[in-house]
Amino acid sequence: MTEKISKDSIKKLNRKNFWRSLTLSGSWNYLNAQGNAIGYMMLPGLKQIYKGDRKKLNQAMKRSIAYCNINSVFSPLLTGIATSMEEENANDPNFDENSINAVKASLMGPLAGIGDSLWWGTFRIITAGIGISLAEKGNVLGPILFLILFNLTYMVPRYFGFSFGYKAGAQFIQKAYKNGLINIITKAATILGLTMVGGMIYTTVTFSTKISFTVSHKSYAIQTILDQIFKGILPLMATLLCLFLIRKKVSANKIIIGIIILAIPLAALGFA
Amino acid sequence: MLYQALVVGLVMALGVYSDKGLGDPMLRRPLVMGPIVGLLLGNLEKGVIVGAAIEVVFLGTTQIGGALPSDSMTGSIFGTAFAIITNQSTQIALTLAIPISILAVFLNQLTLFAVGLLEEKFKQLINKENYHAFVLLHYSMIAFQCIVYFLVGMVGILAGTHAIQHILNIIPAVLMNGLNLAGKLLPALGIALLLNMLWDSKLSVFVLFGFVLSAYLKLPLIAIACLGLVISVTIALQENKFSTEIKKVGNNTSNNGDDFFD
Repeated sequence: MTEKISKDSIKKLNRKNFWRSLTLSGSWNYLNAQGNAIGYMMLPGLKQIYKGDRKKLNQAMKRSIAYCNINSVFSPLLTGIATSMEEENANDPNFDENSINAVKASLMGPLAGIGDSLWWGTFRIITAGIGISLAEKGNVLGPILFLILFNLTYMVPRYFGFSFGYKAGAQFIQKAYKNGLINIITKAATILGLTMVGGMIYTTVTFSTKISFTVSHKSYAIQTILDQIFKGILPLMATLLCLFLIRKKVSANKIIIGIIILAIPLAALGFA
Repeated sequence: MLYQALVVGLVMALGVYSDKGLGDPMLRRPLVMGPIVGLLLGNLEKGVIVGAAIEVVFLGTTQIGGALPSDSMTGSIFGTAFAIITNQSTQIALTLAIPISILAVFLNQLTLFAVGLLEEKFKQLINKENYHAFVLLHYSMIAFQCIVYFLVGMVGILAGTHAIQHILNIIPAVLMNGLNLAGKLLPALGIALLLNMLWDSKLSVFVLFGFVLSAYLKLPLIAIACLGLVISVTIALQENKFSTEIKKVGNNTSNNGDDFFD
């Protein structure tokens, strides 16, 4: 097998894919999501692989801009794997070109699950939590620390994605699927994410009720009674109700409008 | 007023650029946008505090795909700017940020739709092998979205400041209290959207686990994250062992089967 990409240019491509991945949602739209940005990331590698074969380069570019929606941290990993498959395709006339986009599509789902749990569900929540606790007191270090800490977790893995994906190639991914590794990682990340989100409910959904009633000259506050039944039952119920509505396919916009309309009488009743 | 409008327009464009062209390094979160607006309008401390207050409301809300459930960036920029320009409290800034971030979702959908109209052009340029123009179009989409948000920011401040001041003067207390409560309820939706994204009914008990750790044991988020990590790694190792053992057993039985038929 002839190497179309030299070791030196892999380093260069790795850097290019990192910088280009920053524009991943630049031309995001409902029809193609990040497809065009992925094509933009693939372009320099493909130019080397299909050097002197304009027709094949064009076919490869057409493949590259197919619909893609992936967690942006993993986008260089995806283009790394796709580039290694394109190289195989250039070397092997019997290579099935359709397998490239099939592998890409098979990566989107699980990587989105892992990415959402880790970056949106865990790292962002922790680093924002640290930032908020400082910023609440007017300390400007809050937002600065948040940016630094979050981006350490966000930009560093992104930087190494392309060369890792290129070296590991499609076989690695197929093997990871076969021996269940992807499923296990997804499950572990989901457990961590769900635990974190559960932990957020009590501290971020902070409404309570001030309603009280009097029985034989003794006043009872409803909130105290609710707290004795289950601490934070109101925030938990409100969150689960929203989740129920979302899973019943009620749009988020409708739920927001519903919340605002409901909030006015509830506030008048003594919820705050 | 022109200076303030220019500042808000530029911060809006910066926020969109950080998302579209800088890989979304969380620059457009309220926690960061508040202080930037505050710094440029001459009241950094207020910007920091307002940004933190708005961030709490939208902590659960993240971009899902490319579409936003609520545009906390636009809401926090305008909320902070109005509060500083008209000299209002943090609470008012928060109350303003909520309806603005909901309205701004339509702006977001509109610009994404406009980008979608050019999708055909992207395909044509690839078919014509004009890769240079393809890349240029990709970048001009970023520029286009920045310009839209810049204009909205500028016009919003120029046209909206007096209107907002007027509304704040006449708005009844009932409505203000309602919007206040909505600010405390909206995080429930943000968290629910996050939960929906991660949902796995077999693993849903872990939501309760996290909830009890924070409500009853009052643990900070970082401690909850560590406990969650310990459990998830333990389970992953256990499953890995389990799946390799199953394979061993599976291999043995198939070998036995072969022997039997031989």
